[in-house]
Amino acid sequence: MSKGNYSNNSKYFCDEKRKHDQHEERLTKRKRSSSSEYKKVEYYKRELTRFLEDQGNIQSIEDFWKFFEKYENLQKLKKSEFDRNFLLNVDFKEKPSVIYDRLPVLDKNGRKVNIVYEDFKEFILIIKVYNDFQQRTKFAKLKKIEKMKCELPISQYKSEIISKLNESRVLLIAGDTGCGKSTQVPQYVLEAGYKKIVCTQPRRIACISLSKRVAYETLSEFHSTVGYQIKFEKSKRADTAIIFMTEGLLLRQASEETTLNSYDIIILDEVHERHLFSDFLIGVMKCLLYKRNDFKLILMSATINLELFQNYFVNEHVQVVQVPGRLYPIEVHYLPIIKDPYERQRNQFNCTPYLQIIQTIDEKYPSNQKGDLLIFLNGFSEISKLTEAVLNYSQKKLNWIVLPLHSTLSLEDQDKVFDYPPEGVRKCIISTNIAETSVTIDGIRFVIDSGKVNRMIYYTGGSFNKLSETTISQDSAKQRMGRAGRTGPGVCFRLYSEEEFNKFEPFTPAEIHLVPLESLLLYMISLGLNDISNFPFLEKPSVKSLEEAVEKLKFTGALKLNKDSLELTSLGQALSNLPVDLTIGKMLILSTVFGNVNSILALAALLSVQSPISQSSHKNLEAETLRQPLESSHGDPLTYLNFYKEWLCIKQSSTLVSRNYESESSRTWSRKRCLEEQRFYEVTKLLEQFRDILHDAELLTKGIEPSMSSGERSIRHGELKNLKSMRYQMKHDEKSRRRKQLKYDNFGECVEEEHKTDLRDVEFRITNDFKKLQSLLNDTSANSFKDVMLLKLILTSGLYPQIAVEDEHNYSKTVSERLFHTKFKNFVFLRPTSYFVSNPEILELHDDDIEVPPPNYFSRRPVSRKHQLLVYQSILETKKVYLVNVFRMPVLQTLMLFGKRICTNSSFTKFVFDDFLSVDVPYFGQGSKLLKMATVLRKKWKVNLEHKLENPVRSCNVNEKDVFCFVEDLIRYMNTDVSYNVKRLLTADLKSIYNKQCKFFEGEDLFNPFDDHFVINENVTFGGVNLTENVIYNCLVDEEWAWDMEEQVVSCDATCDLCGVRLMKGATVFRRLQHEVRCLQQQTSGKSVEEEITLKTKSNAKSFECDFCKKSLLLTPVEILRHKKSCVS
Amino acid sequence: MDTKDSKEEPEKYDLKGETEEKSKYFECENCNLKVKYDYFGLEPPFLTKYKLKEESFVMKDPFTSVKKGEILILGANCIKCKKCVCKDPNCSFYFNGTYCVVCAKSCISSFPLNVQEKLNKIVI
Repeated sequence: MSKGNYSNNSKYFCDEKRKHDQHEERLTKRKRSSSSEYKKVEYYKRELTRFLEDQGNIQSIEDFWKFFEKYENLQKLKKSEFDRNFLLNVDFKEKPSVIYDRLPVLDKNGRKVNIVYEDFKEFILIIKVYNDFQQRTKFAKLKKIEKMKCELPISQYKSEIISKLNESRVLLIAGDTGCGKSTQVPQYVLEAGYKKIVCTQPRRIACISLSKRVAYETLSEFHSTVGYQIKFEKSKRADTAIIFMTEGLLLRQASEETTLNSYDIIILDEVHERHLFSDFLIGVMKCLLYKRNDFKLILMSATINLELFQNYFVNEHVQVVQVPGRLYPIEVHYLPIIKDPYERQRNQFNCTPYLQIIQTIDEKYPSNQKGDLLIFLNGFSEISKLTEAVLNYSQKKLNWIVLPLHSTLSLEDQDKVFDYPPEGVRKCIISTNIAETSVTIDGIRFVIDSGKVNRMIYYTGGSFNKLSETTISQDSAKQRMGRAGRTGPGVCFRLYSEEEFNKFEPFTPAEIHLVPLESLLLYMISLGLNDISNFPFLEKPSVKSLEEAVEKLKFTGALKLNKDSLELTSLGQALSNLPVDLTIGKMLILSTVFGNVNSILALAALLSVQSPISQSSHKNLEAETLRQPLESSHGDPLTYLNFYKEWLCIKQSSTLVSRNYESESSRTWSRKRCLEEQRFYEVTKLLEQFRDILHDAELLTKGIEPSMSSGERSIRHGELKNLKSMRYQMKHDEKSRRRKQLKYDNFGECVEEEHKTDLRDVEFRITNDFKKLQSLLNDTSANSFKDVMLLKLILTSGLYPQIAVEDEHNYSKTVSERLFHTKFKNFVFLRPTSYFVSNPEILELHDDDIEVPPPNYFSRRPVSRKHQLLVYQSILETKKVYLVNVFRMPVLQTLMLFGKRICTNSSFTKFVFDDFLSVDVPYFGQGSKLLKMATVLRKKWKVNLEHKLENPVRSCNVNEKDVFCFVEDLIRYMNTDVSYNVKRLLTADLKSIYNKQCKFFEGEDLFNPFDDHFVINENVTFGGVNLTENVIYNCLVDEEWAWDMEEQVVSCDATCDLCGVRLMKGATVFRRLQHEVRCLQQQTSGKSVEEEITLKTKSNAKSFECDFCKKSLLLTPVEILRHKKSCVS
Repeated sequence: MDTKDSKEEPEKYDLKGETEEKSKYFECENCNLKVKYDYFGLEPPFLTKYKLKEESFVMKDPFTSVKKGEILILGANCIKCKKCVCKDPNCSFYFNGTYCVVCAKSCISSFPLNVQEKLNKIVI
């Protein structure tokens, strides 16, 4: 050992060493004498693994041995003339001699491990050198991060941002893409000393990727300083200082003030995107600024339409920091597509221009010059078409890897766009406008902009969504172009002309002008912002859309007008607490009334995520056949429920790591059936979330966890421990994984993935144990007719008035051409994946089902007891108009139970529902009987619901029996046999069907046979009288057959079955009904009826003086004729 | 050892000046790198098997899980001029103690030959 003292602060070092050396010498001698078979250190690679891990704290053993070899070789070449320890600033805590004793004793063959002490010391030195090397690399990495942060354009504005933030309460940071605002500003604010920072993002994918990125940059990847919270998951702890969340979530928190109070900085990012809730959030924040003075607001936007925000916050003295983006020069080529006017399919998507550009790129730019291509298209079908075309194109040269990118892809698949291609191969990312702002991919050099976007627009008049292809705005075009110049100079090909570009609208319209506003409105009123017209909207929505939203909320029963101000009903109050769509919310609430919570939760979750049937499934017959046994003849939602249930079953029976091929993994199962497994994971999470929402809203008591025996518990405990460590490992692997290199062959990958454990699977198993799964499984099954019907009833109650009827001429059409009509939108189709498309006969009336109409009644429309209508979740217009997620229901029963305005004639033989459908029940008594049943049930339904909402967590046992009976009654009602036909009313019909006369009840018996608490009153608008909130009696203009039928009944004497009283000839239908009901009531209460039904006037009776007998009578026109006849004779 | 100059206090800003736990920042006087550190001294509590040969600024390794007990040494004070310098090869040099590049160059002759070679490659 060289003892040169090169340093002046190592005196004590030397003393130590001297003592040490003496000891060591002895040691060396002793060790050497004990055995003669010495081996090199490398010989014991395997045996030393534990030693290296435990004593050396070395993480990657493999890596170490590689280093070891290299180092040894290097040392052979040059002999160091000084102690290499001098170059190292780290040492072992313990002396080498102590560590030497920790060496393993026996090798793999059971022989003694023999390493020369000198060799061992060298070995220890190499460990230290290796660690030193690791330190250097890690430090370089840290330096690189810092350097990269400093090089961002925004870093020059750091002090300006912080000082302006200190001066003002509102700060607007406008910076173009690539300036680094989303990643840096939260960090600056954190460094400035703020402790609770929330940053909203419009998309959940951005929340996750940003939180990962910022955690990495703040060197806290393995801490919880930076976290995120999105709809399905959160990574947030008490010590989280920066949290990224979606706008919706922050809004939710705005109502629970305690949470919102805990933030000292609220950053709203991407405000220029103008989403509905981000606009609203800005308004809420503006109000909050006046309410609380202990927080600051930062708005971040692209440099678009800055004036809008500046003017909006002008009174709050908004400060502005403008950061130029870092963009390299971009060449722009305008290459408008010239369409052949004679081409028949000229409106179809054409891949050729895109392929030509790709070809140009191939020719003009050598493959060793890096740079990927990003293509902006409008929709899924265009993307898949072009994906195929480019794949075909590159088949020969294998120089393009094609990656589609759209929001329906799973996060894993979306992540692929960040991986890098092999040498000489370019990535071709074909994307929707998602890559315009939200997903930023580095390394893009070429951009092809189709100039088109699919915009979802909600039409207030018809209440439907239209996904239409429109041209983009100038500002989107600029954004798209900018994507080419992020990492170097780029090229942008615009498939439109410069003139066209100039004609584009300057800004993309804000979402508030494009979507229905019910949820927003409900939310506003629940926050106490009743005065909607005075809310400081960033941009005011149209009066019409606000009015429509109010109407809808009133229809649902969420809103009522109280002294000219809007007020939430108890239902509305409950709905506003549920951060879900109105219809879904209503279903959830009802499920707590009926007690079938799990199935409805599952259904609601299934309806909230995208369809589990993958978009690529059409024409895959094999998958269709496999799906078939699981389909439900009731319709799509119930079919989905069956899929989900079966998937749970598969999950339960399959083990985590499928080593044997016998048990099929849920992943394989799903793929074979063309089902998106991702959706089921989402549903599982969402389902639990819905359950939590219901708990929070106190609509559901926390169920008692199924008790486990101690054995089961310990098994579960072990399982959980195992799963958690697995998750930890996988998450860690994911973090330490570098960007993966893309493989050319995308098909090979599936096989390999098959046996890889799925992180989602592991997480699923952590949150769902076997017992929980079992109970979920049992509860979600809807096997009996009763279960299914109840589910459908609850769904209908949420979705009504979203109903559709078949076109009369459907019978003569092919399945795909069959049309349906809704109230506001005619000629709509079923989606190709809908159950009824593959099974159209379910909706058809068979010859046996059509009944012979009674005499006197004639109609082209078949009379049957099997008419069905479709309840749908939404209408979507793309190239055609589609009904989304439909199921069937019997027509008349459904309408009577859910119709908002039920109009009927004097004999209850004709009904008109909500100005949409007219039903003839040409059998006397059937209509009134059914209506009577329906009104009783409706009342019970309402009472049950109100009771539930008033005493949210009532003790369940009290009413269980009641509910059970109620459900029985409902099912019986739905099964009531009644024959009728159905007619869709046209606008012209509506003018003539109501008689608009109220002339019935003067001096009459006002007993209401439908609801004795409801005071019968006249209806001025339609005529007739209101019998309940929903039923208007005698307001329809009668047709002749109805007249005749009434006449027949009225002109006959009848005897009451119950009391034996004779119902005199001439007693009106209504009188007879009154008697019947009264009789029944009194019978049950034990009294006898002492009432005689005498001749009573009819509704259309006039006072009439007979010329012959000189009597003055009250008679109907028909009676007058009859009287005259008899008088004359 | 004098560490005052290196313990950069977070600048105070009006709103939340009274933060409970002040973050300790390490700042290189040569390249202005500024990073939060967890420990200054010889034996970081989170380091089990190793010790440092000189008092250094240390942070828990930000690139691996905390459980692994790894550290990242950020820098130390120059044994000659006491300036606080980071581990960047262009800022400091270690030979039985940390030298800032300037001091290292100034006493280059006291180092062994092949160490001198290495030093010569560094351009200030």
